[in-house]
Amino acid sequence: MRAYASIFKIRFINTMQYRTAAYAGVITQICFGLMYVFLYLAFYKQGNIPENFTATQMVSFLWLQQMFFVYFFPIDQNKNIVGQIEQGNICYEMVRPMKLYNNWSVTLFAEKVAKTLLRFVPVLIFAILLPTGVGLELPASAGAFFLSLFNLIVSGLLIVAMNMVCYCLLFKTMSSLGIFSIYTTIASLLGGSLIPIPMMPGWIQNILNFLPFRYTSDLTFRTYVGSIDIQSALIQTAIQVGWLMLFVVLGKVLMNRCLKKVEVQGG
Amino acid sequence: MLYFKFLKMHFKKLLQYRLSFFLSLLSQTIVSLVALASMYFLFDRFKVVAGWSFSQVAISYAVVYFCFSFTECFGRGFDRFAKLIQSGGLDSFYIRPRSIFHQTLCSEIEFSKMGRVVVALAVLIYACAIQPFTWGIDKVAVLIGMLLCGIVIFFSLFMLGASMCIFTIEGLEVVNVFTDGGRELCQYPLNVYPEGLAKIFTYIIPFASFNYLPMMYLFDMPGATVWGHALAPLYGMLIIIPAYFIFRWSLTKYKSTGT
Repeated sequence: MRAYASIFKIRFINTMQYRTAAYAGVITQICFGLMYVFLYLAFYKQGNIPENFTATQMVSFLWLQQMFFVYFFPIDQNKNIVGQIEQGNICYEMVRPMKLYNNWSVTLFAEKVAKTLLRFVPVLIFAILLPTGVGLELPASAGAFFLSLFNLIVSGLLIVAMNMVCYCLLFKTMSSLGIFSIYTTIASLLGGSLIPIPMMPGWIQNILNFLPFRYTSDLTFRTYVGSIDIQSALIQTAIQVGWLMLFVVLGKVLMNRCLKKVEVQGG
Repeated sequence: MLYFKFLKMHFKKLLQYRLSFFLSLLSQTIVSLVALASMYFLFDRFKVVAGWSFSQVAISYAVVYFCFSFTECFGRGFDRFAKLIQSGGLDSFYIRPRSIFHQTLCSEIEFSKMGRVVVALAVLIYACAIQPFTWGIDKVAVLIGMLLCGIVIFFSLFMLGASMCIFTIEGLEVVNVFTDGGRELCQYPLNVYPEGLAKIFTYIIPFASFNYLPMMYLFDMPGATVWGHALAPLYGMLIIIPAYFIFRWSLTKYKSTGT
């Protein structure tokens, strides 16, 4: 356990070095946030607004999305891990006396958290200071706030667990080209990062309830803004935890099978 | 011509790595189709936005995707100018008997972006076909003007980004706010946004000149004039003049990174 804590610390501090990239990220998030807020408000002027997603809720949702953009990005393409798989450096990792699955997950999670901490505060301040109607509002209730905070943490772990399954598939294909970006696009659409799920046609919303993707950002943000009431949010949180456990087990099983088959050529 | 020799060379290089080429082509195609699908979902619910229907917005989507991807394909050298400086590749450009502009243009051509160009073109043809009016020669000319203008504007932005790299050495993420951001912004006619924002992208970065201004003429919106709207793409293209001279000027300030 202590070993994983130190891996977390190393990766965290390491990622914190990249401040300039983060500042640029903040500017990008703010510009995109403003753009989406105005775009969707223009759509909302037409009427036919989804009843569980008011204009104020929608605007807060969009700002949360920008604040936690890196946190909820569907896949963290860690160059180090991809390189280990593609080039065979994985053999060094395998001789270490710790589980590769845990090692990689902790690395991914630490980098995710560090990148988010560097970016979300300036966007938060900007969004809070904006006037009512175009800015971020306070959470729907104290309960909604704490539940969404819990959802936020579980979501991060769930995304990492899903990423681990993707990395296991990389053992088979040996090339990350194209595959990661296809995954990103599809996961963004199905998780409601491209357009918020309440705006989608009803039949698609029903399908998405049965997929893991929306139990990340969509659940977290909509619990916060009160678009999902506390009672159903609690049920969905249970489903979220269920998906997390499923993906952890799946990832570990796949990983063990892959590691048994790894052949490293000398060199 | 030398450029076509380079074109052929880059194409041959590509054919050596067929699988990775087709995979990136596939991913580019999926990315652009998903963007179109999400736009369709929005119109399924809201029907119109600021007076524009789905088939009309599909044209602005197709135009901006076509222009951006086309420029990304052929102007890749400017997009990745920072790499050229860091690796010292730019130093060798200075000693060759061709202009640096020409050599940068030839240095990289990214054919995998053609996936998006083809999708955009297909959407454009489809969107044009389902318009309720008949296409006159003037409207076809305006549409072609929009495509050319978009390419010129994105190319100018890439060139300005490259000029900035000469001073900063590192690639600037901020440039992406204008290029990638512009691509996202211009998927919709700009008058969807508040007036202030629309003005910035009319007079400072002339995105509007291949977006809602000529589109107003295309769809016979009230108040559309030949001089102010149909010819807007021509005015927008003027951005290449300052962009080119800024690029030329920044090259005179180049200090090698010493690699």
